[in-house]
Amino acid sequence: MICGVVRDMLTGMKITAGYLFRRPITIQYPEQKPIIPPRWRGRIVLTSDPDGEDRCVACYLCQAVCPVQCIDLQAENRPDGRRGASRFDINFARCIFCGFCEEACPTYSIQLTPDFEMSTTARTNLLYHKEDLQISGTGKHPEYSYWKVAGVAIKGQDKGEGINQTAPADYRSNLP
Amino acid sequence: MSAKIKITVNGVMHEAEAGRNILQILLDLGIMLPHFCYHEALGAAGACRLCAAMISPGAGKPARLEMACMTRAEDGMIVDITNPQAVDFREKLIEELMLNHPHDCPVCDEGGECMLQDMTVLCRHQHRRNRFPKRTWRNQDLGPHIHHEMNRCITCYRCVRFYRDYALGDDLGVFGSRGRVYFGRMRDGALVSEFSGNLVDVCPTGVFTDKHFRAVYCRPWDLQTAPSICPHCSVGCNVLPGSRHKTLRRIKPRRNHTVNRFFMCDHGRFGGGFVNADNRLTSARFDGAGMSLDDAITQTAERLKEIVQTHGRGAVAAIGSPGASLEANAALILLMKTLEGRFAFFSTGAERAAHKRAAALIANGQVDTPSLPEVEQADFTLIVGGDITREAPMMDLAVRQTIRAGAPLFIISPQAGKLDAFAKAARHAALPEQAAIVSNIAQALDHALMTGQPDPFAGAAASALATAKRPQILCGATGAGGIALVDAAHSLVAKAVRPERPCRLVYWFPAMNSFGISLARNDESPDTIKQDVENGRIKALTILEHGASLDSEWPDDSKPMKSCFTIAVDAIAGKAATDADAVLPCASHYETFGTVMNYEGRAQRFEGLPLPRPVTWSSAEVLLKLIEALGAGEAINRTEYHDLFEIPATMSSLIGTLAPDSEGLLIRSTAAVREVVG
Ligand code: SF4
Ligand code: SF4
Ligand code: SF4
Ligand code: SF4
Ligand code: FES
Repeated sequence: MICGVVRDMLTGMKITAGYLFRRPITIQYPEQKPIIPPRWRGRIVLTSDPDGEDRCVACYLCQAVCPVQCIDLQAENRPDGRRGASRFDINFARCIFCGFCEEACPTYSIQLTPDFEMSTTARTNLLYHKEDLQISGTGKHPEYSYWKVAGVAIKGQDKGEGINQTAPADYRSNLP
Repeated sequence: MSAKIKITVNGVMHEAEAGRNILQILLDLGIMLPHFCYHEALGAAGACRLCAAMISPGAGKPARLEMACMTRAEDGMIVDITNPQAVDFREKLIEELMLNHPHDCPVCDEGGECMLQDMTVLCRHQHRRNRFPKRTWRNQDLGPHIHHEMNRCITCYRCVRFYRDYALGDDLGVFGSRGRVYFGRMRDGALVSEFSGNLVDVCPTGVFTDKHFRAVYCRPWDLQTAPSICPHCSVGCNVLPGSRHKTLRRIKPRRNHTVNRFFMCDHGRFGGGFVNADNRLTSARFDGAGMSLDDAITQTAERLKEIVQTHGRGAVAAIGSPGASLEANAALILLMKTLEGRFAFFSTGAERAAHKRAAALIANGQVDTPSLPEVEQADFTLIVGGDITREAPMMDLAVRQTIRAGAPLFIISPQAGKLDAFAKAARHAALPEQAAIVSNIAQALDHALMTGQPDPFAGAAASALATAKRPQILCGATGAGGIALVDAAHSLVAKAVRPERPCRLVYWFPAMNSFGISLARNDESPDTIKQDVENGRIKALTILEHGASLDSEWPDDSKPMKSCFTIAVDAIAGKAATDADAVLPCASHYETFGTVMNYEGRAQRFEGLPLPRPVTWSSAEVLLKLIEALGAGEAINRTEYHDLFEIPATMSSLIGTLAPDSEGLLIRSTAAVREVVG
């Protein structure tokens, strides 16, 4: 029995000794930055279309799917025929970074990013408004533009001018 | 009760009412067979082909794929909706319907309560295999209420079946052929029907959506709702208002089978703006100084006591409102009892007398008043006393159902109205002259089948009335026709009733709760109260919900009005509240609960939306607080409805227990009628 104890101790010490001579995996954060995978689920952003307009169409799906209900928004109809969010709030004090919102979003607007450095000393700072969430680029899926496939007329793109659509039909005609 | 038949669905035997189609029976049993074009009110059209099921006429007989909505259920039928052939048929069909459907659910207002979404999921269609371009349509501007997005149409024809066939409108139609079928107007322009808002509900997709809701859109699953009653007329349609973030967002009809059933009018649907309006009263005021509601109530109570002490009995008075609940008006009457004051209700003396007479005839069971579904069943209709299309729109829609069935319609109205186009004959006469015309018809009824009547209109109406099996008279007890018209209609009905044939009579009223307050005991004519205010005999006047009542002429700017101490209990900063010495704000109709009585005397309970409203108390609660502040709190518990209103004691206690989703309670005083009701 004594032999067994000594053997276990020696095995442990051997493992420890082995690690002594390897390169450490600890990094000196924050001086040294960690490498975060691109699909990391961190701080949420609202991206824009390739043409620079809001991607979010205020469909409320992210709000509906969010398991902790930390998203709140209000839809508005813009003069150019688009719909968008007049207000978009995310309470990061509540968000669990599950990524469901990104998965639900039909326009690729809401995306989670590899940024996790959001700590603050006041909880209220964790309530992000639309202007805090918006970024000027497309993020992932750089070429996707929802309005091009929606079939709704907007300024600069009439009915039938989107992708894979025919020109508006004429019900007054009898021709085939 | 119609006969029962037995039908087997998916191997389980069910009992069902005979004479109905299989789809309706399945839906009633809670079995969801996918469908689009079938609607209980609009009937079957067989247009969408989605409700396919394997149906066999009986055991041992071969089953065929048939449209459940087009198949009348017969005894012994065997229905299988899970048969692979039927499932496959439905799945392919949905795929075909989706060929041209746009990719716009995220910006479609129907999303979340979309029948097309539901049916697509139910039929398990997930992937669009077709890669050809989609057909598109140009939309039309359909006016201020309805947004049009024609790409979403799946050609179920429900819209035109509602608009043209059911509501008899003619400015919305179907155009084109084959793959180019278009639902819209001849050219852009506002829809003229009073019932256009129902397109939003009947269209199973997002072609027609509510423009007002669109402007403040949120998904339906985020709406907080409360079962309520429309406050805009005496029909008392059941509605479901929805709110979010402290504002009312939209109003929808609430299904019930005794009043409005599936639909409601545009006036009610789009008339909820008062809840969010800027002129809502938010703070209490006393003698020009703003203060908390509690303080204002205390000070008002002190002032009322002083006035009673100095000027004695009868120095205080109150004006109740037909636009307020039974509870609010009861509290007002109780307040006056406490102060030994006098009270009346908004309107004029002549009108009040007419309302009271009409309400008494109904409550005493002297006339047989039909519910809206019963109005639809009549085979003769005479409308007299006002424009029903404006004053009781859903009753107009019920009359349209009689027209569809070919029943003759006669109209006596002050001016041309929309129903005139469908009338056998329409006579235009000022309200005070209408009683004479009705009496002419009654006289003509004696010689109905003789030709050569002195008054051709009366003669024609009388002979149609004489031969009808289920005739009805709809009489407006709303305006200058007064008591003479109410009585004339009653005597005509009395003459037309035969043992084997009832003749029904509707009196419609000017406001939501006109019937309820017409049952009040000991109220005075509003004219005498107004006079006594003007000649200074009344020193304090409490005005209940003037903003919701119909009398905008009074209170006026006159000097005597100003020398009287006025208390306004109101939700809206209208004339009365602006000029009042004490302003006690209260919650608006959609934010509070209560009971109202519609034109039939049907007491219906409504609940309030949970809006974080500017003021949390209803007008009834404000008045009860005022009574408590006067030190008469114990009177509240002692008082029953039948102490204040002509309501049988047995019914009085029932009113308090009414549930908002019930059929309501018909207020009748005679035992015979109560049996029919019960
Ligand atoms: S990541 Fe999850 S918890 Fe955070 S906002 Fe999105 S859905 Fe909500
Ligand atoms: S799911 Fe996307 S498009 Fe919809 S509201 Fe959220 S961010 Fe906007
Ligand atoms: S517009 Fe709506 S109701 Fe009319 S046919 Fe198309 S889908 Fe049906
Ligand atoms: S008919 Fe009258 S009660 Fe019904 S929705 Fe219209 S206004 Fe309201
Ligand atoms: S519901 Fe039966 S064919 Fe459309």
